[in-house]
Formats: sequence, structure tokens, C-alpha cells
Amino acid sequence: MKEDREWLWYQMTTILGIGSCTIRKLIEYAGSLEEAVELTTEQLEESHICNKRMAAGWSRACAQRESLRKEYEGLHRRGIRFISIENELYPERLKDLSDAPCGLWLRGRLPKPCSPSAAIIGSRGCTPYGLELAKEMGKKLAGIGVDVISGMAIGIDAAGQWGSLNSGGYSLGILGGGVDICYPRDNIALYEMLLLQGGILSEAPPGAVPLPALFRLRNRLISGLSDCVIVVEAREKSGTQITVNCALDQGKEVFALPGRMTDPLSRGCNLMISQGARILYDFSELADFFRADVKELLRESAMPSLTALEKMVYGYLSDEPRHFEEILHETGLPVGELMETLLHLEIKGAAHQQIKNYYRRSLRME
Amino acid sequence: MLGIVYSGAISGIDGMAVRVEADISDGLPQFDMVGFLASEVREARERVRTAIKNTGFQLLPKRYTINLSPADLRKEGNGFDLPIAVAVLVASGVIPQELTEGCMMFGELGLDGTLRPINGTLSLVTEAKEIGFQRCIVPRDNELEGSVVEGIDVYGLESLRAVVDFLAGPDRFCPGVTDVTTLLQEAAARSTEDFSDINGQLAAKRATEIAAAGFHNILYIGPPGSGKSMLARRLPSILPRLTLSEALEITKIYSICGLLPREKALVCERPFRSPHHTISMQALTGGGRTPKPGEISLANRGVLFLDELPEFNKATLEVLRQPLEEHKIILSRVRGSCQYPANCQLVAAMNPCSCGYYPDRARCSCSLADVNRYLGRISQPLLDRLDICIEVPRLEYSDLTGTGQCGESSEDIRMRVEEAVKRQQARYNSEKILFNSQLSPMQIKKYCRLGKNQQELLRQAFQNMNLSARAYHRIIKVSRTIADLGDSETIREQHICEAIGYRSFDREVWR
Repeated sequence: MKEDREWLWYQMTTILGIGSCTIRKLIEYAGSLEEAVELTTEQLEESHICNKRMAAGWSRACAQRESLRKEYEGLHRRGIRFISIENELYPERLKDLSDAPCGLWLRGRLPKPCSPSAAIIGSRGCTPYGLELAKEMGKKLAGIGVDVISGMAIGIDAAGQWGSLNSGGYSLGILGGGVDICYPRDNIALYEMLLLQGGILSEAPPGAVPLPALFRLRNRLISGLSDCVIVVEAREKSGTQITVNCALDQGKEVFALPGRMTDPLSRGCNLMISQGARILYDFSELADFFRADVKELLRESAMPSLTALEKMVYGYLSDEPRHFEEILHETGLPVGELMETLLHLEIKGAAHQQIKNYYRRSLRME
Repeated sequence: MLGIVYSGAISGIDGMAVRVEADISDGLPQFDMVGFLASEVREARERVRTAIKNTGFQLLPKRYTINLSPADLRKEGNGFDLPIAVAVLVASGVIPQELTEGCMMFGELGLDGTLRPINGTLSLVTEAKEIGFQRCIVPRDNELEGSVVEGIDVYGLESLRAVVDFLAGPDRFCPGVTDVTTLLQEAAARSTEDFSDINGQLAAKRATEIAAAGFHNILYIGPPGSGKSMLARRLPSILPRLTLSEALEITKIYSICGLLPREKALVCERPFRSPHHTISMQALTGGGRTPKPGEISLANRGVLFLDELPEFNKATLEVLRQPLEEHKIILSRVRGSCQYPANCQLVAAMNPCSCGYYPDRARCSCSLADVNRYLGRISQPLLDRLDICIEVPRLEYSDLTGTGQCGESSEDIRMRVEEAVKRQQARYNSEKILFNSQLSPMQIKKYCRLGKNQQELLRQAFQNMNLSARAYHRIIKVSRTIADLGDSETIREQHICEAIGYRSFDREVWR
């Protein structure tokens, strides 16, 4: 019986152009889910719920029911799971949403229902600092057992998820398109890693092409599945803002990383702070929020012991990547000696070569 | 009657002797030429007949047969006019056969009997000397080039009439003379581009010096206007001075391509070739139906500079892989195959992304995916052949105005480079190689012994910095060169550290 209802939900949710709200209205109109599935195209048009295009999609789907059934039965072979809103696996957090998706597709596994979670979000075009910080954030959160939810986009999203996965944490990637399509393609390594160690979730049926409109919908799931949203870097106008708005609508806490006034990539964050977002000035803020042990969060911050020369060179480094040539000018050391010192700093983990010959201090909260 | 004269054809960059025979026999008046001839050689018939007539000799209405031997070697080029004409004159009895003995000749004829310049004189004269000829007749314009070869007298003459006179009494003519040593020395003093022109950029200069000392291929990465091309253009000025045999090899190639100026006897500077990035594969490697040397051979013993590396056609770049390893290129075409030297130093320059300013986020708006896509245009195997890679930063204002440090001159740097080169050559005198960059993994084990401390350092660096296994040999080779520059027989830790700093980028670093 239960299995049958899953199948009915499946039929409803795979129709392109018909979203969760429309499905709910249709069920209300028809009286029940079983009756809703049997609605004819004429009835649909009479109901004034659907426009012509949606009705056309509906009739096409009705005609292809046979093949749809086959696809439904073959889902598990492709490692995909369909979870309807009535399924016991369906995340509790999403049920509270006014426009909760009627069905979800999953690869990998879902987060444990009671485990705390945070969304790490931000720009795709981000600074090296933002990238590194997102990674560090993912790592710290994994350390205190918080799941990292994000959209698998290039930049901050991916960095945060990598940070979590590399430290053995759980991370969930929420896609705009179908779960069987790795989008963006560059993140295929992350996609594979999520299959092993986390999960990939989408509201769109498998094979759905990731369209811009789908990403707006996806963003409400990111905030919906998280206890709080952490914005690492964002421009004044960005997709991140959509997620933050969703989070505010859903009553979730929003953390924003403060940035410099002149940095366009931090402007969005600073704006959020001015509008009342919580300032993430230190990782301990997160410990406070998740009621975790601060010590656990701030572990590994001890400075390695440096020689006098290394200390001197370290003094010339900053959080921004600086080119070797600049450091060379300021320290006045010979090329070979400076390169040697920087290499030792790198090996000790005090300095980091962002890209070739650009050095900066490693992140650590002193 | 029969007339026999010796001439030469070009194969690869070397000359090959060709025997030109002319026979006059009774029969219908005819002028036939055989011997696997290209069309420019076949057309010699009209030029030779008219030139002989206009020089004042009479061709009889008889049957003339010309044969160029060996019959299976394709004869190309414009140098066969003169030997054919002389062979005909010998057969006609104008010139006695014994006067042409021990003499090789080349030259194109005009209808009025003047001698016009040809390509490949140096290769031809060298071949003549090696086979044992005592004299060579070349067009006047090629005299300088031909007389570079020692041990053979080269006479530059201006017309067929002069050739006839010369053969009758060679004593009245003086052979051309070229003082090669002075030429080479003068050229070294003349070089215009100097490293002291570049302010700042100490790291990049140091990397260039190391590249020069070990003949390592080098890659400059940097924003537009940071001086990548300037550095590359000055690299030849710090490379070790050309030896005579190197200069001869270069000149042969240039001469074959017709690129040697008439007033120059020898290419005395290391070549610097900088092809545009729209270059085709054939133009880079050499090719054509009848193979001609490409840019990679023209840069032999010098620098092949590829600016805007990712803009090059990917397939074009990939063909560089094998010649870069083997220092020669073998071209196989319909008309046979030939081999050209390709012992050049590859210098490449590129921007870090398509707009050129990454990682300066204030100016660069490329997404990380864009940046990676841009870098992805260069294949890893090609990157593996670039031992040294250095980021050239944007110049500060103080660097431009010259208040910054003004660097050493090329001459000073070259002194150090030559010292390092000497050290390498002493070390590898039992091997086939000359430079550290040519070390094979086996030879690395033999010549680049690392102490315990050094190995530990490398191990740590590999672990912490995520180096790829491919980087390992490159780092050791470069540290060997740095040690040579520092007058050290053992590779020390500081040498390894510096070499790691110059390692080529791994893709991971950019993500």
C-alpha cells in the first residue's frame, strides 16, 4: 500500500513544469492523491490550476506511464532513491516549509535526522582567503560533528564541503538539476566523494537539466535542511542572497563573515551584518551556537617553533598572497636563501603558497 | 664527347655530391636531361642554353644528353645551372676535361650568363671538402659564406665567362677569406639586449640564469606587461658563447632556408625564434612536400620562445614533445625522410588566466573554472618538459622609473653561466650529454647523489606540499644546476629548496 503511494507521488513529481505547490492544489481539487493522478487533461484545464503548457506536460506524462513505471522500478539500480513527502525518510526539517517538495531524489545517504547541520555558502568567484576559510570552516564543523550542507557550486560551496569530507565529516550536496548529473562538471571529484561519504539530494527528477530557475528552488532546501547559514563571501547582489532570504523566512540563524569595507566580495556579508546577521568574528561563535566544546573547535592552533630567520620572513607575510619578488625586496635576502626559508615555513605549515610563487600566512586564529 | 663536372645537392642539412655528365652525340638536335629532377632543375635546360649562347659560345645542332647521378637521389634547388653549363662546355671541347678536376661548382645562371646566389652553400662546400675536393666555385654573393670552411679554396665568381676564365688559369684568382674567430668575437661584443635593462624581477632573473646554465626549458607566468618577453629575449645574451661548430650548424640550417643575409658569412649569435601563436604544425616542426626546417630547427642551439603558450593550437604544441626529448626531428614525407637538428631551449610565457591578472582579484574577473580551463589548454606531458616555472609579478612604479635596483649586466651573468657549463661538461665527459637538463633517471642516480638530510627534506616537501612524482626528477635536475652555479660539487639543502621554488605548477595548486 505504502509502496503504491510512493509510485503515485512519483508520477506526480516527475512531470516537468508542475511543482510542489501545483501538486498540492491538484490533490485538494481532486480530493485525494489517487484521484489526482487519474485527472484527465480536460479536468485539469477546467480546474484553472494549470495553464495550457502544464496541461500538455501532464497529458504527455499520462501517455508515457508504462515507461515511467519501468524507470521507477529501475531507479535503485542507478543508485538513486525516490523519497516522497509521506516517506519516513523524508527530512523533518523540510516538512515545516510552506512549499515543501513533494518528492526528493537522493544518491548516497541523508543526514541523520537529529544531527546538527550548517550551510556554508558564498560566491563562486571568491578570494583565496575565502576559499581557505570555507575549507577550514568545513573542517572545524566536521570536528564537532556538524553536517555541512551546500550547493556543490564552485568556490565557497565546494571548499566548505571538501573541508568537511576531508576531515571525515558528513556533507550533503543539494543540486538544482537531477542527482545523476554532476553540475558543475569541474566538481566531479567532489561529487564522487559525496556519493561515498555523504549524499546528493535534489528536488528535480533524474535527468533534469540544471536550469537557473531550479537553483532558486534549490536554495530554499539548503537553508531548510540547515540549523544555520554561514555566508563566507558574497557580493552585494548574488545568489547567496536568495539562500539568506530563504533562511530568514524559515527563521534560521544567519552568520556572516565580516570583511573589509572596500572588498566587493565582502560587501554582501557586511550588508547582512548591518541588517542583523550574526558576526562570525571567531570560530568560537559557532561553538556557542552548536553548544559544542570551544577547545575542540580551536584545536591545532598552536604555532610551530620557528627559527629567527623564519620568524623574520613570517613577519613579512600577510593574509593576502604576496609575490615572492615583493618579499624579496623587503627582506633583502638572496633569492636562494629566501626560497629556502619559505619552503621551511611551508613544510612547517606556517606559510602557504596560494598559487605559484605567491605566499601568504596559513590561517590560524591567534 | 663526354663532359663530367661535380656539384652537390642538399639532404637534410648536409650536402651530397652529385656528378653531372653531359654527352654530345649525333642525331636530331635535342637537349635531354635525366636523373630524378625537380622542376626547377629541369628548367635549367633553357637557362643553360641561353646563357651559353649569350656568353659567346656556339651550341651545335646535335643531341645533348645530361645526366645527374646518383639517379635515385632527387635533385632540387637552383645550384645545378652552372655545373650543367660547364659540363656541356667540356663536352663541346671549349674547356678541357682535366681543368675541372678537383673542383666542385654550384650556381644559378641568368640568361645573360651571370651567376646568381643559391641556398645551402655552407653545407655543399663542407661536403666538397670532406670528399677531398681542393676548390669550389660559388656565385659571388655566396663567397663569404662558403669561405668559412677551412681547408678548401672557395672562389666567388660573377658570370659563366669568369668561370671559363678561372678554369683556364686559376692562379690569377684569389680565394675568398673569412676570419671566423674575429666574427664570433665581434658578434659577442655587439649584442644589444642586456639584462641590465630589466629593473627588479630578481627572482625571475635568477630563474633565467639557472635555465641558461643547465639548458633547462623555462616557463614564465605573469600578467600582461610584467616583462616576460623582455626576459626571454635576453636569455640568448647570457647563454654560453657560440663555438665554431655550433655556429656552423646554425648557419647551415639558415642557409638552406635562404635566411642567411648575403653580407653575412656566419650566424654568430644564438638564434631567438619567436613564432606567432597562429603558427601551423608544419611551420613549427618543419615539413612540406619536400621537407624544409621549421621554427624548432631554426632555433637550434638557441631559444624557441612561445609567447602566449595557451593560445597555441594544442596539437601544434604536442608535436614538440618528442623533439624536445631527442633534440632532433625526423620528417618523413612522400619524397623521403630527412633529419634536422632541434636542440633548442624552449622558453614559454603565458598569462595566469585569459584576462591575465589572476590572482589579483581586483582586476581579474575570471571564475576558477575559467582559470583552470585556460591552464588546461597545456597538456601535462608538455609541462613536464618545462623544468623551471616562475611567476613574474606585475611591476611596481619604482621598478619602472629605475629607482629600484638596477641589475647586473648580461656579461657578468654569462661568466657564471659559462663556469657552470664547464663544470657540467667536465662531469659528463664520459656521457653523451652536455647539460643537467639532459640527465636520464639512471644518470640522476649516478651524478646527483643526495645525502640523508637532503633526502629527508625532499620527503617532507613531497608529503606536505602534495608534489607529484613527476616533479621529483625535475627538482633534482634543477638543484644540480643550482649547485653548479654555486660552485658546489654536492647538492645541498638550499639548492633543493630553491629548485622546489621553481617547480612547474601542479594543477592542484590553482584550485
